Amino acid sequence: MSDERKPTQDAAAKRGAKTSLVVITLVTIALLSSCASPEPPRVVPDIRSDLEEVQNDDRISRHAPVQLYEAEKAVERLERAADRDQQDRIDHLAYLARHQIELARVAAETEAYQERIEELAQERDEARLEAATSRAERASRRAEELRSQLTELDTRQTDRGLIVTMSDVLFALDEAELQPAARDALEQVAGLLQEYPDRKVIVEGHTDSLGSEQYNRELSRRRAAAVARVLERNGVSSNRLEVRGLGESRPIAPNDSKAGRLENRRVEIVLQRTSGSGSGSRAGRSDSDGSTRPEVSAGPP
Amino acid sequence: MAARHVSGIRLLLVGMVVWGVACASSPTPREEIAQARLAIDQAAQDDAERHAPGEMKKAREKLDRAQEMMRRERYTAARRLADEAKVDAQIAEAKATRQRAKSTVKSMEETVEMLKKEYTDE
Repeated sequence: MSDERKPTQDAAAKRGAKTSLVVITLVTIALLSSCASPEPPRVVPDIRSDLEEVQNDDRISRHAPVQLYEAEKAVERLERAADRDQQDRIDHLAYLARHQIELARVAAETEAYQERIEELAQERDEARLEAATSRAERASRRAEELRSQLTELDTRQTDRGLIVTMSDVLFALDEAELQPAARDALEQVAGLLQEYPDRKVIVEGHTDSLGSEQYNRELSRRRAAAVARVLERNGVSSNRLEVRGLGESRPIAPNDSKAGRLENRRVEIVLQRTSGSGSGSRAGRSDSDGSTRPEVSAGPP
Repeated sequence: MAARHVSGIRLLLVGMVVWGVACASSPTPREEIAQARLAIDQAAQDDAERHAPGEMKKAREKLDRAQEMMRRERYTAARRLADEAKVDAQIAEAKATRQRAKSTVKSMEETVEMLKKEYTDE
């Protein structure tokens, strides 16, 4: 600071203006150099080459242009300071420059992840759609399978009238509860029955010969009743419905094979040929009419 | 002569301003300290404490030291420490953000994988 007094003194001595200008300039230079340091900074070229690496990485120039610009500025500032500043300031600027370069790297990586996220979002939406479609396809395939099962629920014309037979697979084992597929089928059957509103409908349950007769009668009745209930729920008047539990008394196949027993476990829905209150006693099975009649249960509740 | 004398003083003043700018020491680095604190707070909100604990620690320590230097009126040191604390915090935040993006990528990849499985395995 004592240097500052010099120009004042010179001015006071009323020397030529030219001289004072020279002195002022010298003083200014002296002051400027007071915060300079000639120490050769070794880190600077390293940082410069680090920056060049980042500059040449087109992912970084694409993904983190702002951070790259900041890094360039920081390195330039360091280089400007490098040949004249004190070591501690150079160290400080080197620290900042290094961190700016690192920031550009990290930011570029983050941005790359962001791009991937956008891609993935699209992939995910597509996959969701695909999955939903395949789920729907599987569901419709399953529905198709059930429908084909339902066509096995065969209908045939007999002397007694139209008989719809529901196979055993539409019930759970030893249960009277209907499978959902059976309900769908029965909706259709109910629709058919309602086209003949004045005809009586007899729902007959049948079993194979395994198990006691009494158990079989009971099970067959419960199954027939379950079917009748669904029909009724689908608009078939309970006045027209009659439920019979016939047990093992009317096999349609031999009970000595698994396939035969499967055929025998069934519920038949008989849409009687003629209207009127009597049951179709003139049918092909008329021989057993009399004997089974006492086992016939009442209509559904 | 008097006019020339005045211009000489003016030149001296200009010289002092140049000196001041060259040494980059405007008196108190309050602004720098405030920025460093802001950067640390932002990084902390971004969960940087978990993803970049080292940088966060450095940033906080430097901010403390910057404030200490402020009190001792060593403004150049205070400014440098504050500037360094700021970039430390910025790095910590950038790392936390990167980590979050990375985790998001991972979980989304898993989701896509799962969905694809659903319609490829029948």
